[in-house]
Amino acid sequence: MSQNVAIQTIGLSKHYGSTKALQNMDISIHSGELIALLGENGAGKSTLFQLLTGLITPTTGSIKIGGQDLSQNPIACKKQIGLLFGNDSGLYHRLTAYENILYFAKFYDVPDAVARKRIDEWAEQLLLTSHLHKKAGELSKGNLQKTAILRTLIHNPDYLFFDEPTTGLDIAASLAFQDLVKSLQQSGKTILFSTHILEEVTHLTDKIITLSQGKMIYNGTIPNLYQEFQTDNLRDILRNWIQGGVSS
Amino acid sequence: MKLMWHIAKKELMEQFRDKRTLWLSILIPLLLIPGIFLLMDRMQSSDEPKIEIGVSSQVPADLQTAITKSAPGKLELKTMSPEEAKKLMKQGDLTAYLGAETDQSGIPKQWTLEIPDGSGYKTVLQSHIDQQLLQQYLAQKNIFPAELPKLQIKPAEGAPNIFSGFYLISILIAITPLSGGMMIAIDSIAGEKERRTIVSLLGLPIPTWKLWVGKWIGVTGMIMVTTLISLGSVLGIQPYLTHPAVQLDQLASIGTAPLVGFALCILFYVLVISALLLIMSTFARSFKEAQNYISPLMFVAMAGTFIIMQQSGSQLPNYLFWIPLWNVHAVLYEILHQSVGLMDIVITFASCSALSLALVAYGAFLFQKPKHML
Repeated sequence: MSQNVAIQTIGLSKHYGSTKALQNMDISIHSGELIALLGENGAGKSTLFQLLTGLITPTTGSIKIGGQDLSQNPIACKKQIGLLFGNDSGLYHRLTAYENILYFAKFYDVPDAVARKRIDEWAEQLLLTSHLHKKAGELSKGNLQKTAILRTLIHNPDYLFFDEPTTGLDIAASLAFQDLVKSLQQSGKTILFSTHILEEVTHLTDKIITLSQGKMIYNGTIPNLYQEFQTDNLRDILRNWIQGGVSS
Repeated sequence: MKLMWHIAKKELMEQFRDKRTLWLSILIPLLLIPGIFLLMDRMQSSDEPKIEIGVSSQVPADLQTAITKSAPGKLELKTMSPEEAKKLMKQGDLTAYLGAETDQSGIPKQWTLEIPDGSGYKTVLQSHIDQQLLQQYLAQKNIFPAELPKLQIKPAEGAPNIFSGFYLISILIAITPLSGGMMIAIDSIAGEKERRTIVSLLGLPIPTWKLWVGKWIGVTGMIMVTTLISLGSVLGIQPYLTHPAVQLDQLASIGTAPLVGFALCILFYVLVISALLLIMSTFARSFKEAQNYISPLMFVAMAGTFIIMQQSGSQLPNYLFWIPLWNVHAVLYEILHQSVGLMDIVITFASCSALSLALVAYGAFLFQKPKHML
């Protein structure tokens, strides 16, 4: 593995009985890269995220995070990962936003004073300061997601996984999140995110990985894809893939 | 350990902010249980059974009438020999025995009231059969002795009146930990699955078994709080009842060591209960499913009370102390009979701690299985 490969999977597969959720996937993501993960529902995106974050174990293959094998050093690997799911904020509704973030910070050995400083700084940037002491159950979807972002970033992780992070957010919150993702990439974070919103992809990155029926069907840049398909319409290309099956 | 405590603290904090939990675990034991006792006590007071007292044939008939009249409808006097009275009191079929020695003119020279230790009627009887009663009786007969014979209260050997006390505390111990711990246990795993917060939790850089054990500590803490509140409120209301189910002075007379042993037995019992509740919560995919799993457990826990109530004698068969959900009731039974042995308590500790360790290991094992968690 070359020095700047941040996330690598080799022959990664996940089977549930006879269902092959993910098949023989080889991915290399370099440090500081921002990659969009595309695919229809059931393509294997969430399974890939669950594998990369150590929530489930692969049927075959291996995963390396920051050069360390995830199955052999799960704790060390998880300490460098930030995970955000768009559908589920993962927050406790009876705790305040502040308490939620501090609760998670402790698992990453973030000193209390450092955590508090980070919360204050990020909350100001995300316009969340006035909501920090409200219970999570009383927050709007947008503020809930902002709190979840803060929780994801509180330990300053090097590798970020966002699974459909803008689901349910209004336009303003989505745009704010996109700006945040860009600034995170500029600060050197390696980011893999999944989305169904193609404008979000083209706005944020030109590198995509496309999955269909548990297989990786494209791993490269959007300009190369356009060249290959002789079109600059990403939507048409994806529709063609999905309707025509993996082999198209 | 620090992180496990961190998890436990969060579980407790969340529960204390939940109105449902506060009602079920704190307010119901604190208010409803004493309220039910007061209501039952009032209902019982209107239909009291008569107190049966054995009376020596030496007690003059008109003194017997005076005693009966002192508490109309409450006391029933039966003439019998001291030997017969002793036997009946030992069997628990007689409340007390009034003996007397009279001179030739029928004036009592000495009179003695024998009451078994721990009798619930001690105070009632002493208020009816007293010096004033004798004085009034003699005055009616125009007899004014130089010295009024003093009523002597003597303890007698009697059958301990443990039935109501055992039934009450035992049922309370069977039900309270389950009802008090149910919400927190379900919420902390099945609830997290339902709300999908479990994903964030499992993604944390901490071994999954520590997460489970942290939750177990939290559930145990909550159950202990509920159990102590329930026991405290039940015992606290007893002095205000006309017919207390538990005699506090009888409990106090048991001694510190057995009571401390019993308190530890409750702790070990709670450890088992909290592990069982959490395992069911780990299995369940939703709050409702977990509730369905937990209901039968309540019957299993209560079965111990009913099985032990079928036993007779002061000592129970040994096998009962080896069965973790039932042995705490067996220890209680023997403590109230003042026949508990150190070995019974040791066996209870050993079986409960072995089972709770096994359950914790199994629960932590289940918790790391994605098919149960995601």
